[in-house]
Amino acid sequence: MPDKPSFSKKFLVTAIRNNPVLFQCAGLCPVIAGTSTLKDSLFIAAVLSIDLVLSAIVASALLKKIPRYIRIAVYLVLGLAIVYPILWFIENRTLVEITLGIRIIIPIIAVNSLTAMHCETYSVKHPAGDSFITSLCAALGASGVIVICGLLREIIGKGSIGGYSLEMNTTLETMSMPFGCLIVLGFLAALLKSFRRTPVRYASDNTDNPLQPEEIALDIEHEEPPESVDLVIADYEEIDSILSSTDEFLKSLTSSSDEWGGDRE
Amino acid sequence: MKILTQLLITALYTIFVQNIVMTSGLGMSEVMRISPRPRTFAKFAVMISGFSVVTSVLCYFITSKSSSIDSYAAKAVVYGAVLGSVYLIAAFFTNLIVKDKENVAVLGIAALNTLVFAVPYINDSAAYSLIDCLASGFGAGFAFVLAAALIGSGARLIEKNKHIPAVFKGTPAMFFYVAMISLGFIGFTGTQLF
Repeated sequence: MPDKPSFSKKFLVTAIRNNPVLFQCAGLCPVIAGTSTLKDSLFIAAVLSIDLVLSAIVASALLKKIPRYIRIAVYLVLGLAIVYPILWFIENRTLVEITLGIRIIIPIIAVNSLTAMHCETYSVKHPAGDSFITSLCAALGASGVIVICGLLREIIGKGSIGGYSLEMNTTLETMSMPFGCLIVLGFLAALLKSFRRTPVRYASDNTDNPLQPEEIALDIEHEEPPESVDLVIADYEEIDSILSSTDEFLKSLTSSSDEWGGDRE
Repeated sequence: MKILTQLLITALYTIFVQNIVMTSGLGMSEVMRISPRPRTFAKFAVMISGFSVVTSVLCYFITSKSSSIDSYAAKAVVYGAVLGSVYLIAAFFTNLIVKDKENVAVLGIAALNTLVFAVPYINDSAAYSLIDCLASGFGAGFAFVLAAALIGSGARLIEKNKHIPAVFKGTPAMFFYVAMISLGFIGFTGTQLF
């Protein structure tokens, strides 16, 4: 019987190597719409993490025998049950001072694709304990991206950190727009992708390193510049593999290779 | 005629000017995932428009009749309950009566996404009339498909480009490409960028 993967290994694979936001394009809406400042992004990250972890635990403990199309609605109900008290506290107890835009983004987290995708691809197929750890890793991975986006966008766009002015001479206000977030996401994805390539050499030196996820070894294939488009779209295939694992959930979407009439396959 | 004009103007505004996928990032995950599959676009356009229209109109009637629904927390519950109910009715109908199990899976993605859920909020914040709510509902579906078509066709060109450095291939290049389209749409809104 294979050893159970450690938390660090799960973290490395789930939060870093297969970062849900950067490589699976899940939960992009809260990231793009709600991370114009550090304070907002911390708030979004906290709510998204709570929603994801609680939904994953409930999905793996209670929803395994429920039809898939009903489970999707249950995630919405769970999400609303989580965001309602948060919104209520914000409005009635002035818990924290947050922008108007965030008050609209928080309820939208109830229907974010990250929760639904993670619960459907992993939680409903695994025990609650395992699901908790994996969802926590996914939440940490997504939160990391959200907080970095918020920090960079605030520094570049507003010239401040957490509301404290850095007294910069030049700021680029467009960073506060979705455009700015997508640019930051692009650079983050590229940065992480470059790290995903380097452990290949590291692994050959330290084959016993328990932190070395086996999956990273697969990236050796990505090391050489590809001749065909097959490897160019490596990330698309990654997304497709996740979509395929949700086969029934996305059954009609996982149609054959290239519908744009090209040579994807 | 006046109503039809208003309907058309709001719909066109929602699709081309205020394209909420590109200017706010709503429904972006779903757009990026379906963009390589143009055969599903028509299906998604119809489904998202349908869910958006029905949800918008129902939310409009509920919130206009009840003055107690004025907080963001209350609106979240009402809009969520309406969207969940509309989805479940559609899913039960498709699954049990039409017995089209394949489309039940798509219904979940088309209904329970951030774009459809945000439409009633946008209608509310813009103080839209019933006609405007109808038009913005229709527009949301077509805005989604327009964004998916733009991203999908661009993705093809990016994949074929051999000059992109290896670490930027795949999702990093896609993010940059979507950022450029997003910037273009923001230009339509008249926002001053610099």
